[in-house]
Formats: sequence, C-alpha cells, structure tokens
Amino acid sequence: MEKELLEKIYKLRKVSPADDFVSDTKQSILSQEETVEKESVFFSPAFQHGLVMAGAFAFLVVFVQMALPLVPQYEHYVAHHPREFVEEEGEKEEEANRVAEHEGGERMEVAEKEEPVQKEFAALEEGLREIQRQVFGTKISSETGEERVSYSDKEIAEYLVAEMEGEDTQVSTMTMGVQEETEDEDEDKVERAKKALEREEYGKVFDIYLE
Amino acid sequence: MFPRKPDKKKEFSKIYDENVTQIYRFAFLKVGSKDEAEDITSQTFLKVWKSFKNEETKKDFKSIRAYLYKTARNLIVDHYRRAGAENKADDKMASKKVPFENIVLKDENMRADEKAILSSEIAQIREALSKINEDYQNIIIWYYLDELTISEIADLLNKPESSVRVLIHRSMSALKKELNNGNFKS
Repeated sequence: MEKELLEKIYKLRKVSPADDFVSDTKQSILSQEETVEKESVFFSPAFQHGLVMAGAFAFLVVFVQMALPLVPQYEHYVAHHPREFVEEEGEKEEEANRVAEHEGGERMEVAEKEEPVQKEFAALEEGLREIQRQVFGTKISSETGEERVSYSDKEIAEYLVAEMEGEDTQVSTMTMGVQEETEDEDEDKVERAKKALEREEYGKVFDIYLE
Repeated sequence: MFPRKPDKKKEFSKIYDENVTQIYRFAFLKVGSKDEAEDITSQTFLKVWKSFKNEETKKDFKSIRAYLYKTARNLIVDHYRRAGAENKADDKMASKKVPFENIVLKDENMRADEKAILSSEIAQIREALSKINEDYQNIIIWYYLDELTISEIADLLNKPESSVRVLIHRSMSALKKELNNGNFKS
C-alpha cells in the first residue's frame, strides 16, 4: 500500500507549468528588474549627491568665466580714472597709485597730461584769493580792530562795497594804485558792486572795485 | 560608482529554471487553478528576486528553495483570504475537483487517452490531498514530490526536525486514509 501510495503521489510530478508561461515570466521579471535598477541608479543618494556636486561645479565654472573679464576692466578703470576712483574709493588711493605704477606709470602720465592747466588755474585762483585775503584782510583788520589773519570772500566784498559807497574809511590811499574816479562813475560802480554782492558774486565785487 | 551586477541575473536565472516547475506545482495543487497558480508563481519569483538582489536580505537566506516555498505559501494564504472575502460560500474552492483541461502535463509525447487518464488520476489525488490537514499537504508535496530536506521543511514549518519526521509519517497515513475513504481508485 505504501508503494502504491507513493506511485500515486509521484504522478503529481507530471504537473508542469506551460513552456510559454515559464519563458514569459522569466523575461518579465528580468525586464522589470532592469527598470528597477535604472530607477535605483537615478534615485540613489550617491547619484543625487553627484548631481548636486556637478551642479555646484558647473555654477562655479560659469561664475568664474563671467567674473574673469571684469578684472581687466576694473584695472583699466583704475588706471584711466584715478581721480574718480579715488573719489569713490577714498582711502584706497594709495593702492590705486600702486596699481597704476605697476602698469608702467601709465596712470601718473595720464594724470599729468590732464591736470597741468587745471592745476595752473587753481594755483592762480588760490593765489589771488590769498592776496585778497592778506590785503583786504589787513584793511578790515585795521578798520575793525580785530586781529584775524584772514577774512571770508563775503566779508571782503562787503568791505569793498562799503568803501566804494564812500564811507569813512582810512584805507582809500592803500588801494593798490587805484585812482580816484568821478562821483557819477563811483555811484554806478557802487550799484553794480551791491548787485554783485546780493548775488553773492564776491569775485565780481572785487573786479568792480579794481576798475 | 554604480557597479552593475550581471552575476545576480545569471544566478537568479538559474534559480528560476531549477525551481519554477516545483513552485508552480505547489501552487497548482494548493489552489487548483492553472491561471491562479501561474499568477502566484510569477509573484513568488518577483518577490524573491527583489529580496535576492538586496545584499542585506540575501544574507537571511538559509535556503533559497525554502524561501521560495515560504513566499509562495504566503501568497496562497493571501489568495484564500481574498477569495473568502469575495465569496464566503466558496471557501472550499481548493478542495474542488480540478477540470482535466486545467492540468498541464510535462510529457507531451503521451497519447490523448493516456493524458486524460493521468489527468483524472492527478485530479483525484489532488482532491484527496486538499482534504487533509494543511501541514500534511505541505509535507507530502515538499518531502515526496519536491524532495526538500527535513532541515528545509523544519525551517519552513518553524518546527524541530524530529517533529517533521513525525509529521511525515502522519501525513502519509492521513492521505492514505483520505484516498480510501473517498473511493479514489487508480
């Protein structure tokens, strides 16, 4: 009976899956695996980390490529616009000079070409003002009794107008060789000087005084 | 950076070829339906492959055959649960007689009448098998049909090997009794 039973059981071994099912299932599982593997590669932390690093590197490269051309432009600006640069940068003037000198003295040469006329005018102007201050400052000082060394343009102009109006001053003989004019002419001068004073054109007052 | 593992595919392919027939047969004898057995078989191998490709879960494999049967058995249990939820009256579907045309036989050189006789015998044995205790069913399939070792069966049933030996003896007695009671004559 045992043998007969086993023979019956062994007949069950004849049960088998269909051949097409076996091959199709195998193919299906392997193809699904390929998809899973691809997904796992793209979504793996290592891949994502690599992606972030690559992105950061690409950004750095682009940034450097964009920034590099600006360096010569900056240097060119410093070399050709020292005055503006100094005004803008203030305390970096020394550094700018150093850079300019490094460029072969270009900055200094350019500056020297541009500045002489302006410098000359500025020196003349300043010298004239200094003379005005010294001469008329002294006058005003002797008039008012104050002991200030110099006076403002306005004070000088007011003093000159007052003098031209014929007020009682003692400095008419000290007017640097200016000769006395007629009364009509003086009145005209005084009027123009007053207007110039009102307009705060102190240099013009001085010119009128010297006429 | 992303090493591919072609060896695993080869390894899986070998495991599949060696075990697909047994797993299909196990599923077929349990559920009694060709389509459902095919479905369970493909799901079993897919699940096992997903675990197999993972080095961590692969370490837990004592025996790949035991793991395959364990997975298939869980899927069969799920199958019965679904069937029970859909139709309470059809709980005993596994014990239904299987139509001959539903049985796929290995030997294609048999004559049609021989095939019919064999299919009939297989259907009778399967019916008798489906009526005995589930552990007995499993032991008869695993030990006598698929020739799993006692150690593998002990692992599958989570029982000591000595208990498995006792169960083997009892399962044969139970099947013999069922065949005699059910008038299953070859």
